Amino acid sequence: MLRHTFRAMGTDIECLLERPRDEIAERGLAEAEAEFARLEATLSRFLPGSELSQLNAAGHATVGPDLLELTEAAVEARSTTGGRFDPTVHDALVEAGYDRSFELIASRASVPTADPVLPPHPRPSSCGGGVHVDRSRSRITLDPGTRLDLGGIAKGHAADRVSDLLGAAGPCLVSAGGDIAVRGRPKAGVWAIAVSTGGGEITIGLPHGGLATSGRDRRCWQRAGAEYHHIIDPATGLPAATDLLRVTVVATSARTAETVATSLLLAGGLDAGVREANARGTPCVLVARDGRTRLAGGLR
Amino acid sequence: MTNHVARLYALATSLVVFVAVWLAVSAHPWAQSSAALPANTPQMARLAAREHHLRAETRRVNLIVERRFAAYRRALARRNHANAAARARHNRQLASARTAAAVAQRTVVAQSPVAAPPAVRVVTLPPVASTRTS
Repeated sequence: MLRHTFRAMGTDIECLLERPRDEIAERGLAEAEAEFARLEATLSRFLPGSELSQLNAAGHATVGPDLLELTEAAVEARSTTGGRFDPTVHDALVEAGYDRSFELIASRASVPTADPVLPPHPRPSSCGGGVHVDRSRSRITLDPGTRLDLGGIAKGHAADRVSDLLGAAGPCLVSAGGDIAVRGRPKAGVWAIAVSTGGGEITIGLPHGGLATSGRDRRCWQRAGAEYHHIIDPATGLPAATDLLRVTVVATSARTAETVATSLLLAGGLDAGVREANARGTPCVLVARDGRTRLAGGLR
Repeated sequence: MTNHVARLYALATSLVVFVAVWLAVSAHPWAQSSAALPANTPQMARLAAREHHLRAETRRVNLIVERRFAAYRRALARRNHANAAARARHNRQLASARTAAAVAQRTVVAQSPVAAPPAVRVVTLPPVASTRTS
């Protein structure tokens, strides 16, 4: 099993390829890394030259197929999750202090002095603004005051896209900081993936599709004694208040798994999340802040 | 000796003939005859009448050309308008067909077994990767 790791999209990327090391494998892994770099340059809200930054700055733009497809998918996910997943949480994230890449946030949070840029408590920001996608003209128009953040769904999208590329060389697994897409069946029959629970770790066998974890245990920071994290509840415009720590979801793709995981995290708590996952038949692992762990949606 | 004298005579005669021709040509005897034509000769009258006729004909032809060009421009505008309407109608139909195709595709994907989440279970295999909050 070949393993190739690198940094992209502000996280650790890992590509596994079940194939002897040869020219095709080397080329596939190099193309995978280049594709991550290309997608980051297009979809990052932290790079001023990215298509997403230009769209957010102007409110409208003619965009490439990646941003067009991902925005369409994000808007559709907003509809299918009843608004729990929402790509228009950009301003709420910035208001909460997530206004630059997380490495810089973490280093700034360690400084004990008050930061004049950030208010001690974030103001609620409005979410749910209109996002209009004109596929025939490759054009996206945002309602006034609406800006997009595609952070999580972009990682899932990138994992799916790169696994499609790498899958041509053999069975593969692509992990973008935990958003995982697999293609092809490995010799073991399934891809064994470790998931942290309240009391240790379990291993899930994933035959195909994708898996993603959404939670408030990483990408969180302390400001003025309060804890902030990057999961914004679009209903309030504030970091979500929930007793769930993280949710891991299995779906047909990493992109879908990411949106469903975020949606379940905002379901209202551990029991509500379990009920919803069982009703939808979504295999998932839910971990509460006190360590309680439930498997739901048919996962045993 | 004889040849030498004959050559001298011939040279002198040629020189005289050349000077005479030179003088005759430089005198422009034909210019005077042309300039001397009176303005009201029948020939000039015919030329003036023909010029007048040609000018009138040119005006008529220009009027006809302008009328026809204006009609052509109106027809062109009508045609462009009709083309734009047809193009817009075509684009609307195309967008509607694309939307219908996308909806149909999503429906097919949603109803197909692949669209359902993969059947997964907890296994005892050694993990090859791990997931965490991204």
